[in-house]
Formats: sequence, C-alpha cells, structure tokens
Amino acid sequence: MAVVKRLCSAILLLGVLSVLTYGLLAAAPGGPEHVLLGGRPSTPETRAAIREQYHLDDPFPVRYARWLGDAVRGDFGTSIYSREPVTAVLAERLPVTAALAGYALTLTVVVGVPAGLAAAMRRGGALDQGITLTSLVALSVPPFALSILLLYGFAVTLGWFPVFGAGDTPLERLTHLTLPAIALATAQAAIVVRQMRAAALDLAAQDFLTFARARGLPRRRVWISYALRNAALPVLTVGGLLLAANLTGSVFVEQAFGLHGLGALLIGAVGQKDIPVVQALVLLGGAIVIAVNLLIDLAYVAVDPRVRRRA
Amino acid sequence: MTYAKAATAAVVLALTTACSSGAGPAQTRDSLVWGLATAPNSLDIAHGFNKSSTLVQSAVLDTIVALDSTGKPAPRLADWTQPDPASYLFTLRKGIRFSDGTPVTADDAAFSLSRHLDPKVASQAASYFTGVKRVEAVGEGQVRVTLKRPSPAFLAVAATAWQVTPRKLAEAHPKDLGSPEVGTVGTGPFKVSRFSLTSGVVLERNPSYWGKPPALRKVEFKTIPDPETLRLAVRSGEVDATDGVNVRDARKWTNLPGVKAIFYPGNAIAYLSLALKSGPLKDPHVRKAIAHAVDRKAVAQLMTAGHGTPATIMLPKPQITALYGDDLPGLPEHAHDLAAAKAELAKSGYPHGFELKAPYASTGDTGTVMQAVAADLAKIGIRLVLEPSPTDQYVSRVMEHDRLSIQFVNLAYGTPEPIEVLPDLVSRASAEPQGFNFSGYGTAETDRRLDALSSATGDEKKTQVTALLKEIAEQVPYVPLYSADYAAALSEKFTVGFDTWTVDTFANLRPAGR
Repeated sequence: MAVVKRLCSAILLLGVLSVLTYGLLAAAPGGPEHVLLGGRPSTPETRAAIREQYHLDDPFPVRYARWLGDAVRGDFGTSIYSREPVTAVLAERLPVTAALAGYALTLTVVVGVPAGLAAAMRRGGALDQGITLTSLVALSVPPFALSILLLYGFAVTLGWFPVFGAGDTPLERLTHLTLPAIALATAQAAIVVRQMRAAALDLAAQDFLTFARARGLPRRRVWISYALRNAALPVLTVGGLLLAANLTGSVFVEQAFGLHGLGALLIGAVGQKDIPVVQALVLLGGAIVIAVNLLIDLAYVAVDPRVRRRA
Repeated sequence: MTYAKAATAAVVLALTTACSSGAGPAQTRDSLVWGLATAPNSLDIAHGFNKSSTLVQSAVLDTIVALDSTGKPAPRLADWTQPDPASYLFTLRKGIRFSDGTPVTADDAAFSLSRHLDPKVASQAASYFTGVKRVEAVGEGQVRVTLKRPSPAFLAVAATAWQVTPRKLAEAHPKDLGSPEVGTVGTGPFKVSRFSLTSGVVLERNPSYWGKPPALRKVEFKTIPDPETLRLAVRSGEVDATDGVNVRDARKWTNLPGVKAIFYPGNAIAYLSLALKSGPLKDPHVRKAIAHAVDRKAVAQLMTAGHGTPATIMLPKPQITALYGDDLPGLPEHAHDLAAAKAELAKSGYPHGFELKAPYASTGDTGTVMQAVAADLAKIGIRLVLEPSPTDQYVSRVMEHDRLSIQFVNLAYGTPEPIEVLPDLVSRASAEPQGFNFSGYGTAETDRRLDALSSATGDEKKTQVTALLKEIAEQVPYVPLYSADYAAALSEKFTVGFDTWTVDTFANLRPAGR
C-alpha cells in the first residue's frame, strides 16, 4: 500500500514538474528558431517551414499534450540543437556526471564524517577549533575559484593531473575526475563536518552514552558504535541531498574542467529553448531526487531500528 | 580472441597510449589536438553554419570551389565556365571519390546544392542561395546552375556553403545529416572516425583524398568552454592548437612558452546599431551626435588589445580591402569630437540630452563596450540606462526586434562580397523580425541599390557599394566601432599559415620543420 502511494505521488510530482517547465519555457521570450536558424540571415520560407515542423504556432496545451503523448510512450523527442534523440544525449552525459557525483560524495563522506566526529570528540580543543576553522574556509571558497586554483597548482605547475575532459578508460576517468571531485567535495565536506559535529555533540549529553562510558567501554567503541550510528540520520539526509544536487547541478565545476555533464547541458538547453532536452532533464532530475529520498528512507530503516518499529 | 581477452587488450592498449601521449617531444608527431570553445553541433552546413562546426566541416567536406588567399574564387572539386552571366557550368575533377570509396557524381554535387533550397531541410545556408533558379546534373560530370539573374557573388558563396556530400545520404537524412548519430561523408583530406558532442570529434586521414595527402594522420577536436581552462590546456601541452582565443586576452596568449599566437584580419565588423523607428534616435542630429561622441579608438583598443583597428566604414575590413585595395573612397566621417557632438545635439530636438534604455547581454564583450559607450555619451548629456539580461534572452529579444535601442553588434561574415553584408544593414526585408537590420533603416532607394549591386561587377559594383556606404555614413543608422583580428594559438611543434579566406588549415597543418 505504502509503495503504491509513494509511486502515485512520484508520478504526480513528475507530472507537475513537466507542466511547469514546459509552461515556463513557452512563456519566456524567444523560441527555438534562433538555434535552428543558426543566428544567420534566413528566408521567410525557411522560417515558415521551421514553425510548421516544430508546431510553434500551436497553442501551448496542444504542444504539451503532443510532448506528453510521445513521452508516455518512451519517445522523448529529438534535441533541437544537436538533432540527436534526447535519450542518446542524456545517456552520453549521465556517466560523467554520475561518476563525478559519486566520486565527490565519497570524498565528502570519507573526509567529512571522521573530521566531524573527531571535532566533537575533542570539543573545544585545538583539533576542534582547527577543523571548524578549516571547514569555515572550505565552505567560503566558491567551487569555480577553487577549480582554477587546483588547475594551476596540480594540473599545470605540478602536472599530476590532466587539465580538462573526462577521459575514456576507467583509470583515465579516475585521474581526470580527481580535481573536479575535490573542487566539488570541498564545500560539501565542510557541510558534513558541521552537521556531523552538531549531531555528535547532541548525543554526547544523552544518557546512553554516559552509561556506556560508565560501563568502562573504550572511547573508540563508544563513539563509533554508539554515537556514529545515532548521528547517522541527519548526516544521511544531508548526504542524500548533496548527491541529488551533484547529479543535477555541478555546473561551475563542469565548466571549469571542460566536463560535458548534465549541468552544462541543462544551462545550454534552457538558453537554446531546446524544450525536449530540458523536459527530459527536469524529469530525470525529479526522478533522481525521488530515488535519492527513497534511498535515504531505506537507509534510515537499515540504520535505526526505531524507525523500523514505528513503520 | 575471447571477449575478456579483447577487453583486457583494449585496456592495456589504452593505458599505454595514455602513458605515451605527452611524452617524447623529440619525435615528430602526426596527430594534433585542437581545442574548440564551443562544441560543433552538426557536420552539415545546413544545420551547423557556425564557427566550430564549419571549422570541422572544412577538414571533412570539400566545397565545389574555393577562395584563394586574396578572396578570389578558385577551382576545388570542380572548375567552371560561365556560358552566360546568369549561369555557371561546373565540371567535376576526374576520379574523385568520397571517403567511403564511392565515386562522386554530378548528381551528388547538384543535389548537395539544391537541398539548401528545400524548405523541409530548413537550411541555415538557404538565404545564401535564394538567387538560384535551377540546379541540374548535365552530361559527364557536369553541373549547371541557373540563377534568377546574374549574381557575381555566387561563386564566393558556393565556396563557403556548397559542400558536396553523397546524394543518397543527404536525401535519407534531410533534417539530421551531420548529426552525431548520422555523421557525414565527404571528399576532404580527413574523414570522421568519431563524433560526439561530449567527447569531441576524431578525424583520420582520408585514404581516397584527391589532393596531396595531409601531413597529419589524426586530428582530435576537444571542446573546452571555459577560456581560462582552454589556455591552461594549451599551456600544459594537452591541446596543440585552438581558435578559441579572444583577441582581448591576446596578452595572455602571446607569452605562453612553446606556443605561437597568430593574428589575421577577421571578416567581421563591430558597430553600434541605432534603432531609428521611434524615440530620440529617430532624430538624425542625435545619431550624428552619438557618432561624434563615441571614442572608437579607445573602444578598439579596449576590445582588441592592439589586434584590430578602429572602423570608419560599415564593412568588414577584409571586404573593404578586397573591393577597394588601398584606394578608399572619400566618405563622410564622424571623428571623435565632443564639441561637434554637442553642436549636433543642440540642433536636435533634445538639446539638453535625454535618457535612453540600452539592453545588453550580460556575458561576453557586450557589457564592456556598452559601458564605454555610456561613459562617452554621458559627456554630452545622453544618459544610457544599461539593462543587462542573460545572453540567450537578449539575443532572442533582439532577433524578435523587441526593445531595440542602441545596441552593440558584432557580425562575422564568410565571403569577400559586400552584398553579403549590406542587405543585413539597410534592406527593408532584414528590418523584419529574425533579420539583422536592427536600426530599421531602409528605403525603396536602398532596396533598389542593393538589387543593382547584387548583379553588378567591376566599377559598377564599386559605385553601388560606395553609394550605399555614403548613405549609411550620412544618415548614421550605425556607428562603426572596430574590426578585430581573428586569433589562433598553435604549439611550436606544428606549423601552418592562416588567412582570412582560405579554409585548408587542416590539409596544410604539419609538424614544424617538415
């Protein structure tokens, strides 16, 4: 029952999203003609042919219904800009963005969680202050500025990493995506540090931790088995949101490292009024957010027995 | 070999190439990586008539004729005769083949032109060929083109846009020939071995090329939209050459170690368009005042960093040179002179100045120019209220001729023929939405002159162009600002010549010292 309900709300959400996106694009000034004409002088015949081919003179509901009818049958149309099927356009870019998002999230968690926990354990000490200050700085540096800095330092001066592109083989991809992932993860790791530290501090005053300490359990056991697990819920939420954000909007980092991902595609497609691409991207983004939320909920259940019992 | 073995072999191969690329500068290299600022969207000029797409097309597709380094038409796939002023008979070279091995027929060549006239194709080059009445394959390897009336610019236009592709392929894909899925086949020095909007284009030497085999075996195009990243990629040697150099940043490129920055005259004109249908800009004295007030020398220096010149004539500089040589016509000029500007304004209906909204695109160079112009105009009491909007929105509004005012325009052209430019400036047809006449200037007289110009040759052509330029200079619907050079950067490991008209860059690119 819960599954059906969830599915229905997901479909409803995607439907509303698609109407809103289509409507907003249709209402914004200009149309796809500029892209189709290539910004060149054109003949009246060409312009008329384009308006007819792309049904630009039909009223909005008719155009939307036509798009919806095709989309329901799995046909998301053809990109106006590249004349490729939209699914092919997305399929080509998703792996880059997904790899970058996954890589960045891994770095975020691997750095952010232990650092946050360590800061909480040494509350008020030099380590805590150091970590808090570093995360404040990391949070304040805009990703694109950090990107250029990383490029100068590690790609040009030291030559350890390539400057641009995503690489073809898995190993190449790893080296190509390292700097972008660091640029993306820096601010996010800082968020996780703060979140983790706050959650762990909340717990420090809880009775079960006092009792665990009173039983003489080693500090490591107390923090990892008791505190980490209990602090996991807020961190999981933030982590999930960061993943969703990375999958749909790491535009600045993609731009700086010459990566052709979904973020750059969305910006370009909105500007070019490439409605089929924008629609598919928005739906994909919506589906990602829904899926990530589902994963977070499932993770809650796995991590916290109390959630299980309530359900 | 099993799949697993093949896959392992492929990985090992990829790893060794990954390690070897960038190493060993001692050996001469026969492959080159070219950096593009924007991704080529189509390898067919009908749908990809833009800088990056056309650059890649030039390596793969031959046009029927070419332009030589002075801008004169020259044979390429075909030589031609002109049985009468309004028709051309093209005779194809013997024995030329497409890169897939099939012979090129007159039918292929004829269809490659006539498809641009088909509204279903909605070709971006259609406006180039509106004068074509009939294209037919005649006899052995011959194509006859009949024009509606004589048009001396036809050959220059054909040299730019009449790319020859197999009829079978073009007919099967009217809308998506040249897309990453369909690709293209041509007779050029290279053939496409991979085309993707994300990972770029890979070209390989075309074994059936009719001309001298190119020195390069492989050319890879990579798209790097961020200018600073592109520069770093060239600096680190990951990219060997690029045309994505903004002349404003020339200084950043001229000191790169191991890289040559190359500048050559750009077939483009940057100007201010004054929408004269309503408001203060309707008053010719106001327009003259603006022309006197703008310090174009300063604007030219600001925008071209010394790699360009202030413009006084409303034509791209290479077109002026091609038409007049050094013998420039005497045209009225509006020199930078604040006293003269104030005097003109005093004669207008707005002697104490006025306020005017000036929309501009918030990215790119437009904002910089408009700020300089606004500062200049403020000195004579014209207050520009600069209104930035996102580039795409700005461009769609301008093309709809919505909220036209005083705008910065920078247009690039393909041929040495002024008839390619002047209709954009003063024809009444271009003053309609989607046209490029943003001032709205145009009379029955200018249309008549344009009409006469389109079939004029020799001195008659000069007379008509001069008359139109004179009218523009007197009426000031536009204020010419500057002509910027085009710029490219090339690793010192390679060598090639660049000029405004020839497009054989990739056929001629070779390792330095060879």
